[in-house]
Amino acid sequence: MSRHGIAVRLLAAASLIVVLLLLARRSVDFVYTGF
Amino acid sequence: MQITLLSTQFLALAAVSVLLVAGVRGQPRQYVFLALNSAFLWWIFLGPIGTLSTVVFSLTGFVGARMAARFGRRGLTAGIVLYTALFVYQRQYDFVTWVLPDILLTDILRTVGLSFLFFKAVHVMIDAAGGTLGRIDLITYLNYSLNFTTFAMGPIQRFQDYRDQWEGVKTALEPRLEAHLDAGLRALAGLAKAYVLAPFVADYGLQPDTDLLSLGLTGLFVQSWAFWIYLYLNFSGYCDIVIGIGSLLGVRPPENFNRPFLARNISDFWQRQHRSLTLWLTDYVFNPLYRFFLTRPATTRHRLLAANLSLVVTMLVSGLWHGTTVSFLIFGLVHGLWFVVYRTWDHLLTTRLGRQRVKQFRQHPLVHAGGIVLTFNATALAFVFFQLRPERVVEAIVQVAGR
Repeated sequence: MSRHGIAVRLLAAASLIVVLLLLARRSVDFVYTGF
Repeated sequence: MQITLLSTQFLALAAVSVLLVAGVRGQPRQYVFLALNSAFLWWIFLGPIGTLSTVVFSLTGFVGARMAARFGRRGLTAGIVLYTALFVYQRQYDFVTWVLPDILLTDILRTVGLSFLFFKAVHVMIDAAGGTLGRIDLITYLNYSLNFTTFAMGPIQRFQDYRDQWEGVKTALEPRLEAHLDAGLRALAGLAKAYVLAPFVADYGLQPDTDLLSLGLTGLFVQSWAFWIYLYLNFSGYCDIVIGIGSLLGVRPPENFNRPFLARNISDFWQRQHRSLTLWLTDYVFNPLYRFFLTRPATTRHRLLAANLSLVVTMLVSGLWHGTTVSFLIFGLVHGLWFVVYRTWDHLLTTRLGRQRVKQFRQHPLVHAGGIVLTFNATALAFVFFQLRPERVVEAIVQVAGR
C-alpha cells in the first residue's frame, strides 16, 4: 500500500467535496428516472 | 423527476447500508438489505403508495419468472404478455390514455424507473425459461429488483451478475484501501458531474419547448450538442455515483458508458452509450428477431435486409422503452434509420473493396476523425426528439411539410 497513492486520493476527494459544497445545485432533474 | 442524491438522507442511508451489509453475515444479510432497499424506496424515491405499487409490480415479475421456470415456453409467453400489459398500463403510454376511459387511469401507480424494473424482470423470465438461472428465491429476486443502487435509473444489471457478487462468487472490489478510496472518489466525481457540470451545460441546451424552426442551423447544432453533453453528464454522473456506492456495498453495477463521444459509427456508439440497455436489447430483441427473419422465405437469402429490419424494430422498441410519447417513437426511428444507412454503406463498401481494403480505409486518420464528427452530430440530432415535447415535434414536422 503506497502512502503517496492514498494521500493523492484523499486530496482529490477533499477537492471534490469543496467543489460540491461551493458549486453544486441544490436539486437536479435526473432525466432517466422518468423511464 | 428530482431525486435527492446529494441530500443528507441519501448519503447517510447509503453510508449506513455499506456498513450494515458489510457487517452482517448469512441469511440475515438478505433481510437487512431488503429493509434498506425498502427504506430507500419509501424515504428517498417514492413514499408509501409508490413503494407499495412498485413492490407489487416487482412481485408480479417474480410470479412470471416462476411460471416461466415451471411451464417453459408457454409459461414464459403467458408471463411476458401479462407483465407487458401491466407495464403498458402502469406506464400510461399516450395511446393507452387515448383508448381507456378516464376512470381507469390513475396516477397512484406512478413510480420511478418502471422501464428498468420491467426489463430486469423480463430478462429473469426469459433466462428462467431457458433453465440458465437455477432456483430463484424470492428474497434474492426482490433485492435484485429493488436494489437501491440500480433501482431508479439502472444500469440494467443481469440477475446472474448480481447474485454472483452477492454470494461472493465474484468480487465487486479488490480488498485494498486504494480500491475502496477509488470507489468513493468515483461516487464523488459522479456527484460533481450531475450536480455541478450537467446543470451548467443544460442552460445552453435545447429545452422541451424550444421552437426548432426559429433556431437556425447553427443554433440547432449548438443547442443539440449542449443537450447531448448535458444528458451524458446527467446520466453517466448518476451511474458513477451508484457504481461507486455499489462497489463499496459489495455488488458493483455494470459499466454503462465508454466515452460515447468517440464513437466512429452508430453501431460503435451504442456499444459505448447506455451499454447495459444495448446488451439487453441485443440479447432479447435483436438476436431473436434476426434469427426469425433469417428463417422467413422472403428474407432468408438477404442477410442485410434481415439485419436492417431487426435493427429498425429494435430501435423502435428502444424508443418506446425510453418514453411514452410520439417523440420517443421518432427518436427510435431516427436511430433505426442511422443503423440502416451505416449497415448498407458498410455492406456496399465491403462488396466493392473487400474486407482488407475496407479495414485500411477505416484506419486512415481522416476517415476515423470524420466518422467521429458524423456520429456525434447524427446522434445529437436524434436526441432532439428525446428532449422536445411531442407538440413541438408535430408543429415542426407540419411546418416543414407545408413549405
